[in-house]
Amino acid sequence: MRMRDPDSFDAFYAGSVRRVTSQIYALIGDRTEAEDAVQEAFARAWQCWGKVSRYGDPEGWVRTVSYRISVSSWRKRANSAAAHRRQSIARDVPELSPDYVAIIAALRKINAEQRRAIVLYHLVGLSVVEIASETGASAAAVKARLARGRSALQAHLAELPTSFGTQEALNA
Amino acid sequence: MPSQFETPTQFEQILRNGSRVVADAIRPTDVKSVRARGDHRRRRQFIGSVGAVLVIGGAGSAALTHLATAGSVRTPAPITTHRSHQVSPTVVALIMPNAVGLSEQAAVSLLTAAGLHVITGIGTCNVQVTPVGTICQTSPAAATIVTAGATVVIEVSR
Repeated sequence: MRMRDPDSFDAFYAGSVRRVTSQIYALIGDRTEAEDAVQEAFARAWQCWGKVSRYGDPEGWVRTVSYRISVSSWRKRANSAAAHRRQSIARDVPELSPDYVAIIAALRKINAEQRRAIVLYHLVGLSVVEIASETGASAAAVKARLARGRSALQAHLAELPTSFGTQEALNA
Repeated sequence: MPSQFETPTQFEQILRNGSRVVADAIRPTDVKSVRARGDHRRRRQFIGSVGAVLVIGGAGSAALTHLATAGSVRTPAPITTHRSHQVSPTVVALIMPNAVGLSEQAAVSLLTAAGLHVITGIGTCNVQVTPVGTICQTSPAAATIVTAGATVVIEVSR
């Protein structure tokens, strides 16, 4: 059994929890759910920190685990009852731009795998190869998801009456 | 990859800026409670694995003891694998009974009744896990699959 160093974990947590939560929020569009899933994933990271801390990318590990937790159907059922109590993020965080809120809303409407590819590529900043390894898909599949996800997003963003210039934004 | 995905776009900028605002608005749980949750999971995982071994070992030895003392059946319920009805002999696999904690005599009769050949090992257990004079370790361990007639080693705590 490897030793688990609390100091390195605390530093890792402090440095990445907000970022990972914002990324999971973009992936699933629900702040409470995102926060819960990320807390649980960090707890699991601490559970086997001796191993996780030696991975090249512990933050990627936490992001992947958070995502899996958040999409598990058991959790969806367990949390659906609490959904009505949640406030929309726009009310919760008033300084958010309407364009961002529109993008999140559009992301929620597209296929989950396409959404994951889009978020990992455009928000997290991973390469196609990195997305392929994080999602367990081939690079060709990731490229296809990005392309299809982009067209699907355009369709949804075009419906929205915001200042977001859909075509220019996505094709610039 | 289409070239429009290789440079930061307005789409990316809006998404990234918005995400930064969301990140700033997040008030994360205290790291101590996150670690406590991880420690709790760790303990539960450990208890779960010990429990599983006890259940499997207990069920296996209970079934064997029952069959061994039933009188009409001398060998425990075998898991038989008929490779071919005509050619190959039947391979009888047994679940290794849990003899840990029994006296040497009781362990020998339990294992012999199960159709195994028993020898007592000369080594002593590193850590005294059971009272002196009782079986502290068997090879193979309880609940593993062994073939009928196989030689198993028991070690007595000294």
